[in-house]
Amino acid sequence: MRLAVQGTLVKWSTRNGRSRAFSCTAVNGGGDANSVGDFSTVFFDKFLMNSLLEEEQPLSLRKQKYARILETKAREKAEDAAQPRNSPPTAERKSAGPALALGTWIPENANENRILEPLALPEDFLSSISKNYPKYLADAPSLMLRQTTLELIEAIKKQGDKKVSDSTLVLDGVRGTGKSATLMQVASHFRSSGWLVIYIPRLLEWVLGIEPYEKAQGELFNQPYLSAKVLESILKINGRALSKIKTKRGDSTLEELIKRGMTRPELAQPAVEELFIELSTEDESRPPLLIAIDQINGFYTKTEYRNVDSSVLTADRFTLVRSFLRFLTQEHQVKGAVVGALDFSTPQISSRFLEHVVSQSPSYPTSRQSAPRPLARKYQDLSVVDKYGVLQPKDVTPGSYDSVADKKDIYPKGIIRFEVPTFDRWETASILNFYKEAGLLFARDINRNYVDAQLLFTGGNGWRLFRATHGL
Amino acid sequence: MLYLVGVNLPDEKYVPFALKNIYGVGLKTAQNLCHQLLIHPRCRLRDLPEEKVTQLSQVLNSMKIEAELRRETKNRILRLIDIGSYRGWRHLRGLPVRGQRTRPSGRTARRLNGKGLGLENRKGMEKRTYTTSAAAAPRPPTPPTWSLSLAKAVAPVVRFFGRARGL
Repeated sequence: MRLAVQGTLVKWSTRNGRSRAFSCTAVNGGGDANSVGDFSTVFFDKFLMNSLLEEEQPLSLRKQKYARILETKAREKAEDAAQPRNSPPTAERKSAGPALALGTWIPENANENRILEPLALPEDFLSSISKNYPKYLADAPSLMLRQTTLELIEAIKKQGDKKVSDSTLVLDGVRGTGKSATLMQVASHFRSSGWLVIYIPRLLEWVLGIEPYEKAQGELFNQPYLSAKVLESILKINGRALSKIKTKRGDSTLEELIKRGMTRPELAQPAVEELFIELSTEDESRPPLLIAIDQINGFYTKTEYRNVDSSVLTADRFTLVRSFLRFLTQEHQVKGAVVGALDFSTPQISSRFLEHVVSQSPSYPTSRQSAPRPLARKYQDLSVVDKYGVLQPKDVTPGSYDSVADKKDIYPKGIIRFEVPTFDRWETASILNFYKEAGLLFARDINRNYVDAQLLFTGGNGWRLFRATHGL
Repeated sequence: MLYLVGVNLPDEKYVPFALKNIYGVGLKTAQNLCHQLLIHPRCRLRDLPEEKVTQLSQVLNSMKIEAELRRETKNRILRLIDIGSYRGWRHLRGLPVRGQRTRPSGRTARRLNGKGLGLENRKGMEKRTYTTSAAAAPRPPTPPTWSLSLAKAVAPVVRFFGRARGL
């Protein structure tokens, strides 16, 4: 029996545009967003749960924890069922997919008990980033809560507790493990918690040559329309919060400052710089600021733009990128946190320099850390000479040919590497179960064998799992 | 369609690729032009602001393109013919000029100069109702004021420039 359907409608369609709309309605029914939805009853049926738990004794700590979580869920469900419930009339179904009752991404739900559950991102967050999702997360607003996400939230809170943030957390991991997804969840979480958030889901559009550019002072270039767009996105995400914060001089609010830049592109870049200066000044009354940047390699990559003499321009030659780089180089320090996610799926945005720096940085201690990868030969040194003092050729040490390597003034400082691991067996089972519930896996029996097979074929890689199931 | 330096340019294309449609401007020249004028690579011709269009036409007008270029090429060929050189003679005949062998190849020169190597003569192809061969297309009448020998002399030049128009 489905719970009340009133709430946000969330669509899920396939990546290559064949739309299968699965409407998964988030639970707001009964006024209690914490209530365990119908999802949990079929979440792990007893057979699957027992087979997942059944391994050599004694159970590892992780398995004990999962077992405890499932017990809690079952108990809550039993309590829920015992209470009398009056269900409001069902809302009109907009699509043919099944109605799933999912919890929403509110800060209270980000606790250990809700691990492995897909939670729907709040509708207002999604509309504020206006379909500007990371590439393969398009149209997939329900994301699974993982232990990794909770750890990242903890790490960011620790940064926020300090007087000023002195480091940048960068999400690292193999392609497809869920760096963009985790960043999106975290941005949504802190926005709902009342922080100020500057979230940039796709940096690719800054460097592809889509936006007009013009010469600025010195060696730099402006992208006036892009600066205006970024200001608009900042205003949209934060909503009312910015209208309550006054500037240093006290004559206007941050919202007015942004609006001035938005309406006139020639004033956009100065407005961005002024805004960032305001945000990095100390002010106890202001909520902390989270800067979340996906595809952060884009700050150190070569763009498609060319200079007047047809030489290639690197991203740091653009004033908008420079404004953000000031946070990475610790020139502007914020009360809050700066988080970035590397992107390995987009070749136009690759930056050997940054990937090398991140892989060499100290790691944040997480519960699941993969064995340290042996340092790839190409990252060994950024300028390698052999015993005769001859500079090694490009194919031997390609790192030495990264033009950003010389620019010491824009080197990122204080990088902490946060590893996003692949799914473990439980997370894989949960995701496959969700896909089945959403109607994507027809006539598949989600049992231990199937889960193990998928885990073997995909290596627990979230993107591959997504593709494999959608291809059926 | 943006009308620039005597040519209609397709609006919906990226600027460098649209500029290629001008006689005398290829991709490299077009791209260099865009770099000098700071036109972003994914800019379509219809999105180009007015001042950039004027800058573009200013630069293009200073270059040798279109009619001026065609005139120069024509004059060069005519000069070769006039002095009675071997190259001029080859131009007249519609055969390869640069010393190539004609036994196995030379088809491009011959096809472009009306030697009956159009598509309908290709082995294995069925006859079409239309043809793109210069030989098959009706030739315009020679102007009556020209003498016959002069008409013959400028014939290769006319062919050279007229081939795009199917003469």
